[in-house]
Amino acid sequence: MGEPTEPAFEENVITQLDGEGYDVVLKWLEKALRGQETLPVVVPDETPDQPILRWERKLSKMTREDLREAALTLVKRFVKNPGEEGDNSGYVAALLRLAKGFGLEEITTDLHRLASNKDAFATLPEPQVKAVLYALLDLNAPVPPEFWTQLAETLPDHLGVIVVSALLEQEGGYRTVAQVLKRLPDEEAVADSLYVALDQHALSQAANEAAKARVVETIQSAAPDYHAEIRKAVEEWAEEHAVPRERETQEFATKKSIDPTPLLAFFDKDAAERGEVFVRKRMSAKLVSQHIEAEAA
Amino acid sequence: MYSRAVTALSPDQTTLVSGQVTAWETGACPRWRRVSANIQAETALTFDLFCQLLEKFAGELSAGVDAPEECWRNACRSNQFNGRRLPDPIPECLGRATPISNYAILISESPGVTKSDTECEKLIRKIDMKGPAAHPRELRILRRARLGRYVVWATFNEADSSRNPFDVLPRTREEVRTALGLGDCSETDKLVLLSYRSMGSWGSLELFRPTIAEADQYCWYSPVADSSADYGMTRPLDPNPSALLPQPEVVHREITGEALLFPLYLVD
Repeated sequence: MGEPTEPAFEENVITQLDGEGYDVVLKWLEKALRGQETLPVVVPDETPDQPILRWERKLSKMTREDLREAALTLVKRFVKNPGEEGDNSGYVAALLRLAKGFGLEEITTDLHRLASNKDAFATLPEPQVKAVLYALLDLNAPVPPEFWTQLAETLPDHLGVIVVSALLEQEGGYRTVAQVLKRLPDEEAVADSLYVALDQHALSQAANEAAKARVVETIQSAAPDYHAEIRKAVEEWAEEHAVPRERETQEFATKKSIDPTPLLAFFDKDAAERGEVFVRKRMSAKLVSQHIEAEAA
Repeated sequence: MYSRAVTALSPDQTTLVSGQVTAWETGACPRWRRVSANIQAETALTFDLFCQLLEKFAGELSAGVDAPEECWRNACRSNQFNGRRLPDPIPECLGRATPISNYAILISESPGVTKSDTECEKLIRKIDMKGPAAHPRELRILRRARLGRYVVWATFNEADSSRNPFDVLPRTREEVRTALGLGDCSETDKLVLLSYRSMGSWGSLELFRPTIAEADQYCWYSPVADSSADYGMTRPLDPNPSALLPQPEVVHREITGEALLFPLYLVD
């Protein structure tokens, strides 16, 4: 711990767990997550999961394992009787963040089951719904894209942004994002959250410009169907992450070993014959791709 | 004031309260020893309001339902924002330091925000790195989010309250923590330094001198001996190699970040 900590304070309710049996650890953890233990916080309004994650590394291996087992047990209890927590969303959120911090990927099975149970899930207060979805998202739950798209149909519309984030994390999930984007409400707050979700995904794809370009094109191509605020956010994001035409074409050509220039010239010529100008929008890369694939077939 | 207040309670209440405060004082837990010392050193509440807090504590203890620590928490939570209200003109610029993980959770849990705490932490780091070039949509998310939970503890620049209070502090985690007298940090924790205007859509923020009731179970609080002081002062942590001075301290109710000042700073 940091320098100024007084030596007497190195001992606290978390370090004192060392050597305790599993039942004691389980009981303690539940109380702690409900805010009924005096935890070594940095600031008074810190949530209980944070000091536990900060201090548990000081515990013996056995106690750390007991803490993980206890967290898993509490998640299972919550999933079994989700309505029992009532409005106690602080406890649920802290528990699920702790499980995430512990890297307990196995909870995704339980949370997936809970979120798939439309009737039970619909009765949860919104902060608990958000906590469950955040855990599924951050633990990268291996669920099919259909799970998320179906969920989007039953969730309040503004929570659809969480579904967008989850779909973007999945292989090929971006293809179904547009149908969720169409449902997002025409609200600036939702558009801002969406912009950040799209931006974080694009930044994570920085090393793969072709993949990034595909996502940008796919999402942008359905923009006319989005509400105004959502469309604005998508356009701003697409503008910011536009892959320079030359680089995109180059990367694509290298990958396919086919020079797209003749095809682009064909489009130019075709448009000129009709008295039009062929505008090479980012969409045209997709068009070129389709033509090349058709040619190859 | 504590001795006077305890004797002003009914005999049963006196026994319960003084018995528990003494038990903490002589107990094994250093945190509750300090809470006990702080209760006995309290000066920020009026005599009547301090008695009200102790009566509530006695009531919780006599009910015998919860552990004494829980009884104290319950008593505190029903007696908050009873300290002296700062007279006008109040400080223009306030600041608080908090671990980045805590701020990320605050944003994530705020109504109208649909980003996980992991995504919010990435967002805070990006805003920090981009400085003035941060995207307006990113900044708006922080402006909509809460700045603190339940009770917000804030500091200000005593010499010039229009200035960012962190301008007078070295920008390292340990020195900020030392000056503000914050609790246990790990060496990998990052603190985010938030500064914000006291004026917003709420008008002029109500600022209060902190009391033992806002401190609740937080043992790093330090009461100021002068009962007439308008605001509290932090107790810098030992050791204090840079001889950092105590910083002024106030509390206020939850607000959103609409009056946040950018850039924000991350220190480690």
